[in-house]
Amino acid sequence: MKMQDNKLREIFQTKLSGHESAVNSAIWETVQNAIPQGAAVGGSTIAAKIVLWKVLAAVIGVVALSTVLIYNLSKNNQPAIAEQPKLEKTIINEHQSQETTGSETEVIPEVSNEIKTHPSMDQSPFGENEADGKVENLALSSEEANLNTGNAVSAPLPLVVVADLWTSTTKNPIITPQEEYKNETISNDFSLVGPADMGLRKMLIPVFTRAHAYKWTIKEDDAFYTEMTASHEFSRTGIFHIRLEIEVAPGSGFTEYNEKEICICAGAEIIVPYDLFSPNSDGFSDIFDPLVESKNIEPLRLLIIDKMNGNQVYEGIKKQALWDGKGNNGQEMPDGIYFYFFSATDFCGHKLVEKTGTMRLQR
Amino acid sequence: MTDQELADSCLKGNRESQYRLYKMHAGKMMSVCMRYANSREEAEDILQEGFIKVFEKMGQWSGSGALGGWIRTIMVNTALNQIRKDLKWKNSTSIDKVVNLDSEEMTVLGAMNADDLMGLVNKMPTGYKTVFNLFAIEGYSHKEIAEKLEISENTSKTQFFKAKDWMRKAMVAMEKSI
Repeated sequence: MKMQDNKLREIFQTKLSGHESAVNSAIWETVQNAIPQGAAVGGSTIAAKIVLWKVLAAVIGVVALSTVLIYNLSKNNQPAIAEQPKLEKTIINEHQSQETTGSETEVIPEVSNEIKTHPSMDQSPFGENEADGKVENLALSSEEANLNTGNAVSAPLPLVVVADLWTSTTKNPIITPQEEYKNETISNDFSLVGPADMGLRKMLIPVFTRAHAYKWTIKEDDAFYTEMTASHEFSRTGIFHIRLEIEVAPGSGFTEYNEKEICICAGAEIIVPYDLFSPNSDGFSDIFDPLVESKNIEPLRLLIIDKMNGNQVYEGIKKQALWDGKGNNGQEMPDGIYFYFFSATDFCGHKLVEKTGTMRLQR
Repeated sequence: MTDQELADSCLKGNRESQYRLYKMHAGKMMSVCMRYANSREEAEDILQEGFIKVFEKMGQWSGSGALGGWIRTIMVNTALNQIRKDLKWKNSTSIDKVVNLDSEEMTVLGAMNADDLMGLVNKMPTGYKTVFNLFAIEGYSHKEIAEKLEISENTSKTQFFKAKDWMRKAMVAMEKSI
């Protein structure tokens, strides 16, 4: 049962963790409008250039469309009608983040009118909406515009790819998908991700995600995974040796490997289970041990102070950070109220947690 | 450029870095969103909202883990928020028999390519799909899923069984159609 679930995880994680789907380019347009932009070097010029190139690309698209239409019309009526909506959608798609109101829409089918859109670019280099709106109008009849504003069309976009490639020739090139793959270097590095709500379960994620096969070994837990990203629940907090081996291409062997000492932490909280303390050897709360219900932490120091006179009664470091009711010289302390001060670190020494309070000693 | 440098640059509002980060992760995240959403449109909404959150909350990334993993967590949480209204757990009856796939079915699953598996997951009803995604792909335990979705651990397990049962039937139907 458990084995099968692990196997299922392995199958789905291996194949789907790195899976990519086509993204509608309109999304970036919306995202970038929603997020702040600082005084980035060349940022605004790039934006302007993108607009320019996109308009050009769209214009070329329209020219191509018109040519195809004219050619097809003169040749044969049927294919032209079939092709028309497909090409138009491509253009709409690129600009669908901008809303087109039906009243603004005008039918300007002639190619000669397209040139009129260019002066508007000079007046407002950031006027993406304006420019895009006009380009869109060129290709749309008013009815179709009304239809298409409501329906998102989401096929991959040939026009946009062209625009992206062109922008990459500007002075501050934007990385295209093609370049991303080309410049990729093989890394054997990896990292662990574990949101706080995941406790001791962490995801092991390699930096290089396009290899043929992966092997993860966690020595201390005697665990072994072959999926690209492994999900492992560590048995405890502390130091673990994690080893990643990568087979880059089928049959090339596991040539890339990396081993790291990684400290696994989890939230540490001190819980003092009781504030009544009775060291009378009856088997119930005979030892004052703030660690009883606290996991994932290493005790550092326990200090007991008599509330009546402020004298330090006991001090225990590390493993001695618990109290049996006796003073540092072994004498039994009288019943009464005591202060305690307890501190601890997590196993990686990262976090110092402290807890102070009062407790009643009553035998 | 390391994740840290990229994140810092994005925080400063460098549009080029922001676009670069977006380009690096958009495809994978779209795939994540598609797995949770009921339609491509819904997935796009989630992706858009998720990335806006990513850029807004960039300062909260601790820098200790991979940036990609952090973005993924944000995306999954955004998706869960989005689809929460579609989740109707009350109708889920518990099933007493334990559902297991036989070894042949596991082999078929193992032999399927990524796109086919995506298709299989996408066709699942929302309830099963959500739990199946969280358990089998994101790697959460039933306890963690229960907390995330505010359901009982048993509901999570039941939904997972149902997902497996559904998958088996879907595979049988696929074989017949071939």
